[in-house]
Amino acid sequence: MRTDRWNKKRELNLYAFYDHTGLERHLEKMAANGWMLESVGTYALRYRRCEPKKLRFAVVYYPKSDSFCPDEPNHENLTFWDYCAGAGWQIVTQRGDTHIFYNEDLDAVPIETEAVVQVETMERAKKGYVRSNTITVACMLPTMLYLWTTELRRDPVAFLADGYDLTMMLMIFVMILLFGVELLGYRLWLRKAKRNARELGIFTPTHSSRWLSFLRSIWIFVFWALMVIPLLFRSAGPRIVLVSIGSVLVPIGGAVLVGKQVRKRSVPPKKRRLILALTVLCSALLSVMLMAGVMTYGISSGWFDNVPKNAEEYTYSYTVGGNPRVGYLYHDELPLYIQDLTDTDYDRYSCEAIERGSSVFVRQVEYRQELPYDVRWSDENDPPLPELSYTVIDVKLAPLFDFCLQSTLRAEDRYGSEYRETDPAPWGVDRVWQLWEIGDSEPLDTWLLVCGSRVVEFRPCDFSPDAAQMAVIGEKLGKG
Amino acid sequence: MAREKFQTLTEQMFYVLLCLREECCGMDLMERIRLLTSGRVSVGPGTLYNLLEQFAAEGYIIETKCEGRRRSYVLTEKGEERLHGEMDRLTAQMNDYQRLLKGGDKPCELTDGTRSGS
Repeated sequence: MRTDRWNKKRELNLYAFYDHTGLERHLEKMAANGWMLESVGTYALRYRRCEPKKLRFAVVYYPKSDSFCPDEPNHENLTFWDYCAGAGWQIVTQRGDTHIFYNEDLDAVPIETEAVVQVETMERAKKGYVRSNTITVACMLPTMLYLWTTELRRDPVAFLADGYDLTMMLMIFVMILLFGVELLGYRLWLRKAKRNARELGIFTPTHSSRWLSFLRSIWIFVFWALMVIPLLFRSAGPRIVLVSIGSVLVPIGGAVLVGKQVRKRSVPPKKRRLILALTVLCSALLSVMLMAGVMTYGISSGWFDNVPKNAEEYTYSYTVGGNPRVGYLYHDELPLYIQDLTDTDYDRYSCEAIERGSSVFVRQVEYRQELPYDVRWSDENDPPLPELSYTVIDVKLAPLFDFCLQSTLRAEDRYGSEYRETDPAPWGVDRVWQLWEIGDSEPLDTWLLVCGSRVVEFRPCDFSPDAAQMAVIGEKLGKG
Repeated sequence: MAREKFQTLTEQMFYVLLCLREECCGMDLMERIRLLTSGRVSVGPGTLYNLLEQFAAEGYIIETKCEGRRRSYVLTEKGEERLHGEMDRLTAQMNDYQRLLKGGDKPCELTDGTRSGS
């Protein structure tokens, strides 16, 4: 006995939303190979096995679908199908404004025999889809470009180093372009089809690139995967993803079930629309309430608390006898420690390495060797214990080096300070700048070191390096 | 420049209006046109359905009966005028053809009884 799976087949719908000619020829080929179309989904065409036979298919766009039940035939649709059935065209499936028919008579009168009427009807049917997509593309493209340029101007190094954001923005940008190309293809076809219909009275076949549609489908899949997978690897990520998906899917699933039940029963159209409208409204409200409720519970239960790895917890308070707060002592590996520079025997430093971002262009890591808060604020240490903070920027793409260096040098301008170049010899690196407050006669204890393709911003706290320490810093941090 | 809708009727539009001088169910029109033209003109169901909607919206035809999903239509006075206008256009074309290629024989009468080109 053949299984249901053996008798069913799915494939990606690789035809543009207006490419009726391409889809018709494809469906005819599939029927000749023993696969009859069963239904059309957003991205998939579903078939069932049939006797191989030569059939004619017609993909027709008719604008009067019910927006509440786009896949359910309304009175107008049924009348339209009756007309088609009168000429031997049997309906196969309908999705929104797309109606697909077949005819066993290969010489039957086509459904559309007047080019002008066909083009006008199609334009009316696709008006809503084209308008909403054009507005989306027209708004999204400048928005994306604006966000890019703003981010690039605000903090160029962080922008170039943020692989996730950079990838997401690039993915969205390309996706918008792919949608834009399809819309452009439709516009060009429509213009030509109108001219041919009005001036010559002939039909214009549609063409669309199956590769472009394939690329777009893959792109959408990869985009979602890239967006969701990194979230799963953040400590609270899986919970956030599950809560978000659950809060949206549960009410939608409920609404779909209600919709199916309503359609199965012979509910009058007006009542059906009312029920479906209420269901959509209720499911939207339920989504929001569910999301808010689960989030509130999650926050109070500490679901989303980011407990850092490789860290030990300690408590401190701002004031003596004040509310205890939780702090963390990190034990990350650092390229340079206080102990490399001074003789301190203090051993409760928090050593934290924070990767600010890493992309194919730039990697930016911030390192901190800090005292626990209670020790930092204590008056017992006199002189105060030193702390260390430095950021290492590795520029992986050589042409970007000058751009990154200049933007790092300029970054301090907005705080009323500026970097002034100084002698690199004590540091043993290529170039060195020291930070000065504009108008002040004394420099600050912040340096910018350049060694090869690496830029290091070095910010010690409560100590100023001498020549020997500079050499150690240059040697430890200058190595790429 | 965009042409005014139905300024000139195509052959299929012409026959749809012509066959609706007598009340007829939309679905039966395809057969009626086929018989009238001896199969020379065929109107597809999608084209017919959309044309009936557009003609009704323009006031050229009017719905007379609705039995379930079977709707019947008949030509209105405005539709009759449009049909005459098209007939005159075609007659004028025919007379021009007669005059130039057939030696200027007696021209055909227009719908108002006059003769084009005379």
